Amino acid sequence: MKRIGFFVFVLLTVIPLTVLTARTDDCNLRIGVSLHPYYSWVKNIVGDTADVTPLIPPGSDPHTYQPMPADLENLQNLDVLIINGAGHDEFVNPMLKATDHKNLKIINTSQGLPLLPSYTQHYAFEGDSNKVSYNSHTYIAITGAVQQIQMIARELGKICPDQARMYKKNARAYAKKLRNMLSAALVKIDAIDTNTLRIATVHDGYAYLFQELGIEVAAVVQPRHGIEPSARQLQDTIKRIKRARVNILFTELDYKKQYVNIIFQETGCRIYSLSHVSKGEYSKDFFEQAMQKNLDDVVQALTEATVVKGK
Amino acid sequence: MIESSTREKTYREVLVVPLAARREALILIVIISLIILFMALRFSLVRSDDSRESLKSYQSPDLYLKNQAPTLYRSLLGSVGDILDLREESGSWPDVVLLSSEGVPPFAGNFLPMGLRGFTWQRHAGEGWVDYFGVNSDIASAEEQGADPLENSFVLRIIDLQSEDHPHPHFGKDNDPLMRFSYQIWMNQQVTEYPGERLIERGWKWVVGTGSSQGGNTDTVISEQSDQ
Repeated sequence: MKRIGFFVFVLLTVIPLTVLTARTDDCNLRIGVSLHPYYSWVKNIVGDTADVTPLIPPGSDPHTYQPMPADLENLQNLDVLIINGAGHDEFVNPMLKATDHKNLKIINTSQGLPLLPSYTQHYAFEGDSNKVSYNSHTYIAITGAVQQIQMIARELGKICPDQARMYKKNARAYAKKLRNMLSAALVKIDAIDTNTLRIATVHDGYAYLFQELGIEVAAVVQPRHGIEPSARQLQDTIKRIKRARVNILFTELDYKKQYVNIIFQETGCRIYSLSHVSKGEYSKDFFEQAMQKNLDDVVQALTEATVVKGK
Repeated sequence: MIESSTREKTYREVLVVPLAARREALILIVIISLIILFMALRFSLVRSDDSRESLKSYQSPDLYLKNQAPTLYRSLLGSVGDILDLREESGSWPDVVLLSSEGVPPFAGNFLPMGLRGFTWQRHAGEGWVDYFGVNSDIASAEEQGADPLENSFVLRIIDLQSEDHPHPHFGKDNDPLMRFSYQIWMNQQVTEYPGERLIERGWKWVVGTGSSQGGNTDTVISEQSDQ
């Protein structure tokens, strides 16, 4: 009798456990990401139930990255690939062509996202073209990030139905955390009179962020980031800042100090740096930390500029 | 005389017909046709993704939203996932109080810039669909004093495609076995009462995405997954 009881016990405990483990193993996804924020988002959604791999090394610039043979091998081993899809990770296209990985599920984070127009004419000498393209910096904002995180969780849930509930739960918790960061920044901005301030950015990558903060950007003074301005471009930038009567200029973290100094000397506008959220070590907290710093820096810039104006 | 008669004999009149041009003309026509065909094909492939031309009279591209309305629009799109999750948990469409307490913008106003916090929201739930209707009375009073008209009223409509009775039009097919929910955002420049099911007849505009990667809004349909 004891033997039968033991046998039944083994059946009831070991077999379901085996089935559960097998199911989980079946869905041990290998997920590739093209940009830093996607690494953080996916890690927060899947936890340790999937392998998340960046497509490019930490210090590389996604705009200029040239894929290596090892990258193609890496891509070949993936089940899922998360991409920007709005033009920020163009290096992915030739890789996909070269590998011809038919079973790869691609999640386009810009799918279904309301995109902002991005005007290509930034300098007088660029002609009168008013051709509209779309702003690909969909990840430098909280509201857009939340929508993309939910979409990624849904799509991953379709591939791994057993884990869909967990993915959604994690995505919601993460979204809550991010929204709280936004809310805290908005409370601080509420206390500042931004009506007297004129804000400019070096490129329109921060348009989504400023829009959700309710801050109007008076001018975008440089066409693309990561490009060292020539003397003529710098002169044009200075002209545009003066014409738009800008008080605060937001540049990028790696914008050279010599240009910052020249602009400050010529225009007197205060200059602050924001992160482009696409450089540094890949980590689960990278996006949160970079965005928190951006929000803090925006609040600090507005506060200091208001104080100066008030004097 | 003798010389001239010899000449007549030496030079015979021969009619030289030009070479037949039919073949060359045919080849030329084929080449021109191919060039035209190629150009047409190329044009259709590389033409702008601007889908405004194909929009219905009751649709409006999201690029036309003014001032802070794009932020509200984004916020509403971002709330759909939370609404469906809460519906899955409770079995019914979550009400505005619950959404607010769960910290879901725009129902929780503290996640929005100050200019958008004047919206008040109501839930109107049908059998297989729900409307979240928001109206901004604060801006309305500014408009009365001469400010430009803005987007003052919004409806977020989520439709269960498996339900028998639900409003149309919507993206996705009725009873599609692979798709469960379709969602859409409508707007009205006026401050209005809740318009009910028939939004088009009441002059509301359906805001649709025109971004280059939006693929015709098929993305505003959610699969069965959320209920599994």
